[in-house]
Amino acid sequence: MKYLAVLLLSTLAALVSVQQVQAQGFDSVRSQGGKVSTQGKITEITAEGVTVVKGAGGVKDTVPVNTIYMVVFTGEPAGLSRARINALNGNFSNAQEELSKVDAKEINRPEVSVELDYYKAFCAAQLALGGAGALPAAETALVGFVKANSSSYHYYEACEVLGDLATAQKKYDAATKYYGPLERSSFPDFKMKAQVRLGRSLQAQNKHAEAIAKFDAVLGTSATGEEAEKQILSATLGKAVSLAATEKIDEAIKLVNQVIEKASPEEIELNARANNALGSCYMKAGKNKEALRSFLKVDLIYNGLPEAHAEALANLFKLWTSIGKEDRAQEALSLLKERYPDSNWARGVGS
Amino acid sequence: MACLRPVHICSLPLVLCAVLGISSRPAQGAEQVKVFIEKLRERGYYDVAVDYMEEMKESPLADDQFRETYLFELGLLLTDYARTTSDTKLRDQLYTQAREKLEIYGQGNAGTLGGAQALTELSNILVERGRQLVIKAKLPTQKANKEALMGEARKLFEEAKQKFENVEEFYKSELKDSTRFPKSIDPAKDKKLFDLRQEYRAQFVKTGLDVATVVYELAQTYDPTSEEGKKLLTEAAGLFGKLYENYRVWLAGLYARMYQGRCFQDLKDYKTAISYYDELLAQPADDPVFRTLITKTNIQLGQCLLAQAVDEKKPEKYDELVAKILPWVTAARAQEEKTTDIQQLKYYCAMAYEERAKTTEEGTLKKQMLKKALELAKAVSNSRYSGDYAKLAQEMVLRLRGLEGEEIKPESFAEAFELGKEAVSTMELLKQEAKSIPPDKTDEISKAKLEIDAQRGEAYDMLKLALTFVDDKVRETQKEEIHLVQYYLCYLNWDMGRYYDAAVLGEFLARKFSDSGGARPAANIAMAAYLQAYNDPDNRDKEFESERVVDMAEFITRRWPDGVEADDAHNMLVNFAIQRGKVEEAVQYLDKMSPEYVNRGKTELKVGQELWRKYLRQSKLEGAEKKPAAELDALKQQALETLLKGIDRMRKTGEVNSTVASAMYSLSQIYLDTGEIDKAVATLEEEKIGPLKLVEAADPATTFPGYAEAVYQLALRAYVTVRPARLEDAQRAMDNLEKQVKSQGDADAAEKLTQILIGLGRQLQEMMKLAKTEEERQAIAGSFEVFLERIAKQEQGNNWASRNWIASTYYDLGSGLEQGKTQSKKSKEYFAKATAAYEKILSDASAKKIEAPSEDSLLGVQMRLAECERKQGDFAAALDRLGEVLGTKPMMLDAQIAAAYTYQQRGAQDPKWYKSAYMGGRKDPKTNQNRIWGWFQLSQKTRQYPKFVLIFHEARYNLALSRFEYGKTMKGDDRKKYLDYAYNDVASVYKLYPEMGNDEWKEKYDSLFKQIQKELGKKPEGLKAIDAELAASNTLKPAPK
Repeated sequence: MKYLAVLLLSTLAALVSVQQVQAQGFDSVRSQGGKVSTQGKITEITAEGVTVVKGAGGVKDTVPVNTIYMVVFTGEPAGLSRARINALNGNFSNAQEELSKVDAKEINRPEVSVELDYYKAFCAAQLALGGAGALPAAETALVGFVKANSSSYHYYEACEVLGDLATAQKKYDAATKYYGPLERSSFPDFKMKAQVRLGRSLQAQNKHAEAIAKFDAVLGTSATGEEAEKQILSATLGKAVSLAATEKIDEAIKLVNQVIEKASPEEIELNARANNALGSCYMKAGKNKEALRSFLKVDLIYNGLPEAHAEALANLFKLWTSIGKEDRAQEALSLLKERYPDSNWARGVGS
Repeated sequence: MACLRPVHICSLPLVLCAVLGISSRPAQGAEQVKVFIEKLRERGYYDVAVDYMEEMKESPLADDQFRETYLFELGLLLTDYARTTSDTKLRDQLYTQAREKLEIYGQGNAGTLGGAQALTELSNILVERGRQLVIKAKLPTQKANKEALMGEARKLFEEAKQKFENVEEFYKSELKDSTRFPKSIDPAKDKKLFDLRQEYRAQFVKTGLDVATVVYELAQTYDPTSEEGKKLLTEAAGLFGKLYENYRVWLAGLYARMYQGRCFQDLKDYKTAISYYDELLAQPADDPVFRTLITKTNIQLGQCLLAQAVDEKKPEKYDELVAKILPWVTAARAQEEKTTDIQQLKYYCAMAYEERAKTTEEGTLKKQMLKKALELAKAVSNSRYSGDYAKLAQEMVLRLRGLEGEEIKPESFAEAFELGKEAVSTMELLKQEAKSIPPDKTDEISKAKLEIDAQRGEAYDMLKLALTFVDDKVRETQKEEIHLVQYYLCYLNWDMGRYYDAAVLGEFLARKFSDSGGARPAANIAMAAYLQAYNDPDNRDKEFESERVVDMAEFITRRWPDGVEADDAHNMLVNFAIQRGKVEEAVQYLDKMSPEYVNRGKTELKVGQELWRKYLRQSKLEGAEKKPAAELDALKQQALETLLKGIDRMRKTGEVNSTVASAMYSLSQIYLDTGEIDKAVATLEEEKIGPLKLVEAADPATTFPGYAEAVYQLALRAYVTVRPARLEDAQRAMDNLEKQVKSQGDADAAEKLTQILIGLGRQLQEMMKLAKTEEERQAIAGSFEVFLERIAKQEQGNNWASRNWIASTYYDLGSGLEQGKTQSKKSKEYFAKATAAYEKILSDASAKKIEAPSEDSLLGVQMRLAECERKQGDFAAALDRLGEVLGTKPMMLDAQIAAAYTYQQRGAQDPKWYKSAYMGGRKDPKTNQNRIWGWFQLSQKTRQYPKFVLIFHEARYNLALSRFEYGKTMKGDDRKKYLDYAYNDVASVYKLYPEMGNDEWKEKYDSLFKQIQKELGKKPEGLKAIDAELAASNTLKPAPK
């Protein structure tokens, strides 16, 4: 996911950029992982893109939604800016705290109010997915946002997160419905993303043959570009997980290693999922030492994705216990229970 | 005395990192190897980091840069790991490994910056290890080892010195090399080169300090007043002095001056030392860098004045200390207050006050001094930054409060811990002393025991009290001490025999804080404590303890898989498995032991013998229980291989003990029983560890009861069966056996010998049973017969025992050649020979040619004779003879049993004898009672006596069997009647005695019951049917097992 894909862009650097934009009185649409900025006055926002009128000549430029990394509105509260950066970096609890301090009455642009509402619902959803909040409440809030703001540039992302929330609650039919708009969108990478998510949903139902078919469909597409590449790696990983679940461990390990080799270190989500998948494969193969390392990588390096971190911690608890390092096992368990108390992983281990 | 430790003038600078290729920032790549290692290091998972790093060397994920510097980085990682662990054993191993890595890296990069850095790190390790040895050598407990430890430390320091000098030379030559660093470098034009030269210079000076410091450390390995000590201190002072002169404008130069002062201080030239310190104390106190120097100089000054006050008997030096140092301490900045250095200085001031008070007359001034000392000591004791001084301050607080007449009642964790620890030490010393009290001085022993108990109680109370003081602050600052308290309590509980408490505490510590210093011994105590609880004779349900022992041992093997603990734990598990009769488990644990483990050989011998015993047991099973030949062969082979491995290992160690002796015996037995007679003889006669050689040499390893007898018996069997038979050796073995038995001074020696000989005959019989071919069987019998005849012909030396043996061996030979229930021609011949031999014994005894050991011995011969007659089918003669015996001795159970069997066997000829088998016969005209009781009466007579429980079941079983056999010969209602009798015979036994004697008898009953059920037209489901009946009636249930 893009909000996790940009850790390289430091918080400080991003904040400086925001301040610069605001100082000059422009709206700014950042794309391609934040590397390209389109500045001017935002004149139109749809689910498909954001239109900016640039400079005195009034040149219109529409930035397609699949390339948007973030949008900064001139005059938006500083708390919202900070919250957005935190959310993009995966620090959802910090983001939520910042958002709670923003006084909605002071906002005089409707699109900024929508932005505030979105990030509130989005952060709550991400925290719930990570086991730090109730999933049904998060789903209700996000559904409320989508119903009220179907033309928001966050629309597709909101649908994606709604699908994730439904999958986490084992409401697989609802998940399929939520992923629907992505699947039907005109953006090839969104279509690919929908297939990957649907594949994961099938995995959660132990329908591995069908899941592999979804992942293979992504792997068979000819789409190119940064986002498409990411989806191909995600599909490869998804396929590996299903292969492992069907006892094709060696094949699965090979695929996961391919993903790890190709993934950029900044791809927190992909690296986290890949290392968790690898750890699980090794556990199944009885290679506990290797499994331990894979999960430790998630715990120590790629810990930005709550659900993946929770999974790694739960497995670390088991593995440390199995080799007699019960103090370390307790460390992992405490962190899991403290940080992700509502996650299935926390419920499934320890006392 | 404090160590002289140069501060790091500069840590490894970034410029050098760049030159070395050591990245100071995480590398970006598909596999973030360095990032991961760094994160593991930060988390303290050094063990994982080390493993990972070692594997990454070969991984395609690592880059060339990683591979080039990997040994260096690994060396540093291991060093850091060693510094953080409180496990001394592990620390030693890690330092050794670190040293190896750095040495290899240094050798591979000699003459380069990388090589120099590796040498520096290596030397630092050597110095660190050397210092630890010096500290250890100075402990009061190491008096005897002091010189050896100091010598060892000296070697390390000398090696470090050599290496530091090489490093110094490297930097010197690099700096001199104009092609490397031109004389003039303009920082504006080439900043990188300029900075690099600066770093090289800094490293050069630092290495100079290292060389001088290691000379000082060398001096510490000698008495400072000795010539060698003085010489080295002077040399170090000279080196530091030179550095000061050359670099007095550098901070390093000033530190060199301070260390020079320290050398003079150690040479007891206090005046010079103090003048140097005063010079340094005059440095500006504003700059933080100089403030650190001043603090450290004050520490040296404090130590110097304390030493001078004692040596020169100048109490006023204490005043000088307070006057010079206390102002610096009281003016310390907030950040400085949080350093051990400032706490150390406070402690020195407290010491000065306390010591000065001793020389001051009673009065207000003295009280004030003591009060100030107490205040300062309390401040140090309560600070979380006091390090080692916390303990010393704590002792001082207790001392000063004692002086004030206060009862010493601990008021903090540290106080209670100190007192508890001291009590543990005292208790251990008392234990040591108690060991030297001669055993006859019982009063002294009792007194010592009381003292030990008192100290133990004191230690226990104090340590328990310490735990009540644990709060968040203590938890944060004295984690390791808390673990030590828990370890001591675990140990004390063990010492007091409170095994459950010891086990629970030990397990908690080992599992929850497995990195703490006490974790390993605590784990071992926990395991041993559970084992003790398991072995407690009052403990009937041992399941919990058994689980805990195994679980704890397995935890140890998982947690410290490479340590000797894991092997010890596996060893314990092997013994525990053997104790519980689980030899398969024992084999599994044995396989997990490392080949180098010192006790592996002995353990292999134990397991091998257990396997062999299992084989012997299983090879005797009959009927449904009989094991397939392939399974038995595999078991035998496993026993053989395990024993051979163990013996081979023990041969290499040259150690001879009872386990080796037993194993060699078992090995000989295996060879003998598997027909490899030559090997059996060779094993028995092997030089150094052969059982015969050991017994003949009266080796202490063979003095355990029964060993020598067993060896001679085995030798006798081997010599008789080897081809060609070694009859003279056999004769000698028999003589030795007889001597051995008689030498024990047993009144029943002759009888015992007879029993042994009979036992030998039985073994021969077993051997013949195990023979794979008829030919082999005949050969064994034939060879043995030759031997028997030869002995029989020897009039001289033949006595009751040997005659008896000859006769009983003929009998056994006959039994060995029996073909099922029928007698072969050869077996009949042997039974005839046995009959003749027994009759000869009786006639010779009657003619007083030989002397029967007792009346019972004669009856025994009669019985054997009856057996021979029975075997030859002469039942009437056998019954006559047995009736006669029983007329003399009606209660002779063996004779009663033999008689009942004879009737029973005779039943096959005429079914009426089955009835006699269970009803008895041969009425005594005098008593009108049956002399032969039969199975029914036998069961009645033996039922009440636990010692005859197996005879009771033998009788009950045969009662049922006789009725069953009899019933089968009947027809109609009679048939059903007797079969029902038989059915009820078994059923009633099961209802009353559900265990049915033992598994063997239960199995027999069950098998018979199935046959009865079948004959009665019932489902042949055995004893289960009775369970069902009981469940249905719900009236009479089998008693719980």
